[in-house]
Order: sequence, then structure tokens, then C-alpha cells
Amino acid sequence: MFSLSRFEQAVTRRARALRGLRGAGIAFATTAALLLAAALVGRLARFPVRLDARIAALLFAVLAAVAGYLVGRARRPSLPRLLLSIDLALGTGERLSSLHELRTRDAALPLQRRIEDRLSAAPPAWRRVVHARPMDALPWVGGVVGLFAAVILVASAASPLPAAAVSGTHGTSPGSESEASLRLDVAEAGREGVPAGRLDPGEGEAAEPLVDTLAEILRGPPSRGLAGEFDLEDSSPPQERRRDAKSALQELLAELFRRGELMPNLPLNLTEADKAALRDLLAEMTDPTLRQSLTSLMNTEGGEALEKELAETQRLLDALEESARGEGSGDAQATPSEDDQEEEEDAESIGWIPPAPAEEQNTGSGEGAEEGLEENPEGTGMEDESALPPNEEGGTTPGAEARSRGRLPPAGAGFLQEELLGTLGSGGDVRRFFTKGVPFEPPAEDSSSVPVLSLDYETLRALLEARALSPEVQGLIRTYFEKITQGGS
Amino acid sequence: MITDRDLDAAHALLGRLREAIDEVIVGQKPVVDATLIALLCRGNLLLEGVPGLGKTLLVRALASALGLHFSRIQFTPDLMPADILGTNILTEDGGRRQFTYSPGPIFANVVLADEVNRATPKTQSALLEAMEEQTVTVGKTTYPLEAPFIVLATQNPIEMEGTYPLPEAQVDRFLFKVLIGYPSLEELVEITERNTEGGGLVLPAPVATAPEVLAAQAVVREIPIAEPLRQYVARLVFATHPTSEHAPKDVKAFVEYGASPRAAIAVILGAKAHALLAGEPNVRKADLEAVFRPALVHRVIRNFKGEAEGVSVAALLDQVWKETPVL
Repeated sequence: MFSLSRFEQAVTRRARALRGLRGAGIAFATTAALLLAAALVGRLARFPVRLDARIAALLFAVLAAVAGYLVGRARRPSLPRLLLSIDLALGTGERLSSLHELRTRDAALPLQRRIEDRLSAAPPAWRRVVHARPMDALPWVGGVVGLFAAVILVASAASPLPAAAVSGTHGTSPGSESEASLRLDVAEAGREGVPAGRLDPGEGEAAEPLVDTLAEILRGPPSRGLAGEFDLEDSSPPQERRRDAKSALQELLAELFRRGELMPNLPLNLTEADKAALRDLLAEMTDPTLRQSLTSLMNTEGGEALEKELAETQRLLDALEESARGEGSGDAQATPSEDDQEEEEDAESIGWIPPAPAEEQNTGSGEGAEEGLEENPEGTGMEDESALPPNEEGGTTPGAEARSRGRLPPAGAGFLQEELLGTLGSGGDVRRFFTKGVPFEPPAEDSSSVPVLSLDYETLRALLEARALSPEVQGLIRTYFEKITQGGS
Repeated sequence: MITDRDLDAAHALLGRLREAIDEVIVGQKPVVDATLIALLCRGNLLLEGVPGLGKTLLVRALASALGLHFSRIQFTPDLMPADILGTNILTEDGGRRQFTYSPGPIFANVVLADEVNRATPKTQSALLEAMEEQTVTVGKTTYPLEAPFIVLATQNPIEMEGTYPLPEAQVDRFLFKVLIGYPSLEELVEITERNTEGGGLVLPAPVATAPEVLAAQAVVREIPIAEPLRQYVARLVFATHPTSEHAPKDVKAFVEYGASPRAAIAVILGAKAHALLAGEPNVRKADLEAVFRPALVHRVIRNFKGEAEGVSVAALLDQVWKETPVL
């Protein structure tokens, strides 16, 4: 005998489960769409997405699906409609829905019996019609695709890309994306002529992983991996490149002056090529004053103002050269060879300090240290124990080490987690910003209460060279540190 | 409360009636079904067709098979309401004069209103009360009509000159309007054979009684219809209204007035009777489909544009049926 109650229970159970699945699918798809939109907006707005946030988002999608299932299941289907839909699908002559209608009436028992007899004779195969439809899978497929797209979007925002091809974003997670973000930041800053030291503490905190990554590059085993990604057409030594940069700037200024003289009736203007050349030179320069002057030069509209800026830049360049020549002649006796002296002279003229021999680093004399302090009175105020070789007692002597400039770090020095005290540019306390492996100039013993940190470029350069990184990557890292330290030593 | 016996009796009655009518009427099964449905639903039927198709014969055959009191009213332009309803006449009884009511031909179980559109609207309206309430009011007195009561009206769609289209109020009181078409070739051959040989056409003998008909009418109302189907019927009727959001495009364009609530009642009741006629214990979608058009075709009024462009109401109803989802 056909039992409508049992039939209704079974059908309702199945229908509610299906509703739950549909609700879960819709909730999942909606959440995935929202996450995709968030990923898009985050990418466009350079909004940092941390790894834990991504995991939370995925968990949220799963939770939404579960909630959707529960909500969908909680909604009881309309039994008459459900039964009629089964009737229509199976062609049962609307007996199920009519029987449901008759159940509430006692006056039609004979009719009820006749309907039940007919249903017993041909039981409806309701499972054929109350099942998940292909359309039900659509939200799930859409949701998975949406989530996948969101993950790809976030991941691609963090993947290494050529700096020239990317508009730039702040990296937000550890790993390769930090490296890309680092490059992008530097490239962006270089293009826009952002003054050095513009990163504020908030940005610094967000960029913490970048510094970590950089430190990893500095500390890890030598590899040609990164170098292989870049064109190695510029394989000249750094000293030569710096000399080239200086002479290139001289030539460019001379060319601009010559252009002004040739066309006295026309206002002097910078072409795009001029600006590009200046931009490249700006990336090579380390002297803050000169960099500032070059930035102003690039941003000047033209005409008389441009001529004034050109004259000012030329004056600065001449003054730097003059200063470098004077110091070079005074230090000639202290330098071991002419080549070394020339290197130091050229490098200092644009803000770079040539490296000293390794022996000198480890056994640096007091005289050398005092010279270093005199040359760079602001480059003090830090306790960089890990970046310095240990003394006889196993510790470090910051004051003494501060006198040894351009030293190479000992092999396997470790660059453990460092907590640096001091200020950096206008950024304020940078204790949390720099973490590990960043080669800072050690502070002097007699430094002020709030020491000012500066970057030990020679150490950095030596480290980068030891890593066999391509010139582009080296330049990128160097520029990055220039940005955040307002030049350094 | 109905019993199995009532059900079986209703099925048996309908079988006998159909058989009796088939002895006289060749073919025209939908028309015969519609007539029986109207009888089961306590409704009235409007038969429309050109002369000679057997409209009057069908009604006479039904009345004969039912064994009920039958009367025929031939509607003409000079027919007066009193000719239908009856009138008070002055009588003399023992030297005392008084008005006595003399019932008209409406007082019958089966009334054939032949060529109903030939009478004036005033006379046509005389049928309104009888058709809807099965009562007749003359003067200040209301007389009940004997159950079962059914009016079967015929009208001729041609020869429209000198005719008076039925007023909407009266048309709405017909459960169905059935269009009688020409018989097929085989049916025509059989018709000629039945009418030209032997003793000619013989009306069927009575196969039913009034109580049996009334019992069958009671059974019809117990036939169940699922609630979603009831809602479906309501949506169908709504869809015939040009102002309804569910109305198809053509309905909005060519319909002046949609079907009345009586139409929904007619569809559901007719579907129940159709299910019983088909031997089913419940209403199916197929039953609704079978009665949808005859129940609404005379209740949807086209606008001027629809009439001018010759849009048929039947086509509009087909569109409504196709475009209205069951669920």
C-alpha cells in the first residue's frame, strides 16, 4: 500500500538536502565573487594582502558554504508544489499532489483509496526527478573558478616581474613577492624622483618583509639564479660605472649648455631623452645634494628656471669633484696604491666609499677609525654586532669597528636578527623596520642620545658582489637602501 | 461524504448517457463531453455553429436520455420575457376572480434556448436569474426551478442581420461556449445513413433519473484538485487581463476585458467533471487543458484593434496557456 506520509518524508529530506547544497553553492559562489572583487581592488589599489588574510578568506568561503547549506536546508520546501513538480515530471496524473490535498479532507475517502491504489500499482520513481541538476553545479564551478582567479591574481601581484613592465605595488607577503615589490618600489621611486628618506614608519612596517628578503639574498649561498634573469650587458666593475656616471653627467650638462648657446633665442627645454638620461644618472648618484639637484632639474619646466638649475647642478658637481680631489691628495700616503686611491676618490665624489682590504677591516687601526669618524660624523649611533667581526673576547667593539670603513663581513657571519636603535632620515624610530642582515654603519661611542643610522655601502656592495648578482639587481638593492637612508655613507 | 457506491454510480451514469447520445449524434465527442460536463457542473452551455450541425438534436438527445422534463424555446425578435418565464393571468374560480401564475417554458429540467441571439436583449435577460440562481421571479413572487436544471442555448454565427449579440452579463453565465464544427467525411456518411434509412432518427430512451444526476453532481465537487493547480488556474485567468503583469504580449495588445472570476470557477469545476468523465479520481493538468478554452472563450472581450485585425480569442487563449507556467 502506498504511504503518502513516508513518501513525503523521504521527498522532503532529499529536497532539503538539495536546497542546502544549492544554498551552499550560491553562498560559495557569492563569497568567491566577493573575494575575486577584493583581490582585483586590492591589486589595483596596491592593498597589501597578507598570507593569513588569504587563508582567512578561503576559510570564510568554506564557512559561507556551510552557512549556505544550513540556511538552505532550514527552509522547508512547499510540499504541494514539490509533489506537483514530481507529478508533472513523472506524468503520474497529478495523483501525489491530489492525494496530499485529500489528506486534509475526510469526505473523500473513496477517492483517496483509489488514488493510493493507482500509486501502489505504479509507484512513482521520484528519485529520478528529485536530484541535483547540472545547473546546481554551476555555482560550485563558478565559485572554484572565482577563488582560483583570486588566488592567481594575488599570487601574480607578488610574482617576480620585470620592473619596467609593472606599475608597482607594495609587496605584502614573504617570499618572492617581496623581491618583486622591492624592485617595483625602487623603480617607481626612481622614476618619480621621490626624495630619499621619504618612507614613513608605517610604510616601513609594511615593507618589513622586503628587508627580510633582501637580507636573505645577502646571507644565502652564492647563486647565479637572479643574475640569469637579467641582461648582463653592463659587466664593467662598479668603480668604472661610477666614473662613467660622473663623466656622463658632466657630458650631459655640457651638452645642455651647448644647446642653450646654440639656440639663444629659444627657451631651453629638456627632451624625454634628456630626462631619461637624468633619471638613469639619478639612480647612480648617491650624494643627497646632487640627487636633490638632479631631481629638481628633471622637474623644472624649462627656460630660465632650467638654466638656473643646470648651473646649480654644474656647480655642485664641480664642488664635489674639487672636494674629492682635495681629499684624495691628502690621503695619498694612507692608500696602498694609486688605483685604490682613484677608486675611493671617484666613489666618494658620488657618495660611494671604496672597500678597504679585508685584513684592515678585521684589524682596523685607531687612525683609520678616526678618519672614518671625521669623514662621516653622522654615520654613527648603531650597535651592529652581527655585522662586525668578533673581538678577542668573542664580542664586538663598536667604536673600533666604526673606524673600519668598507670592510667585508666575515664569511658566514650569520647576520642574525638585529634590533637597531636610532633614527633614519625623517622616519623616526626604525627599530622594527630593519631586522636582519642589513649592513649598517656602526654608531660611534660618543654619538648623541638618538643616533642616526646610515648604510655601510661598501659592505653592502661587497656582499652583493659576493652574491654574484647581476648589476641590475645590485643597482636595485642599492637604490632601495639609498631611498630609505637618505644616502648613507 | 461520498461513498464508493456514489463514485461507481456516477461513472455508470456517465457511461450510459454517453452511449445513449452516441446513438443519435455521430462524432462531436468534445461537444458531447462539454454537454455532459455542463450537466455535471450545474452549468449552462452555449452552443455555436452554423445551421444543420445537430445542435438542437444533441440537446434533444440529452434530454431524452436523461428522462427529464424538456422544453424548447425558439427565440425570435418578438419573443417577450413572459413567453419564457410565464405570467400572471386573470382566472375565475367560483365567481371569484384572481391572478394566477402560469409558468413559462423555463420551468423544465432541460431548456433548449434555440437561436438565443435572435431575441431582444430584454427577452434574453429574462434568462439571467434562471441560469444563475435556478429561480424565476414574476411580480413579487419568486419560484424555484426544479433540479437538475440546465439551459442549453444555441446561436448561429452567420446571418447576423436582425440578431442581438448576447449581453456580457448573460454570456458570462454560460459555463462553456462550445463551437460546433463540421463532421468529418466518415461521420457525414454515417449521419446520412442514420437519417435516411429505416424509420429515421429515433431519440434515445431514458437512461437516467434526476436523483442519479444530482448524485453525480455531488460527486464532481468532491474530486480533488491540488492547491498549486488551483493557483495555476488563477494565474491563467489573470493572464487574460491586459493589465496583468503575467499577460502575454498579444493579450495586452488586443484584449479589452479579461475573464471574470466565474471563469476560474468554470475551469476548476469543469476540470473536475472532466476528470470524473475520464474515470480519474483527481484533477490533472490535462483536465484543465481540456476545459480551459471553452470556459474562457466567451469571457474574453477583444478591443477594437483586436476585432479590426481579426485576432481570434481562441488564439489568444492558446498563447495564455503556453506562456503561463504551472509552477
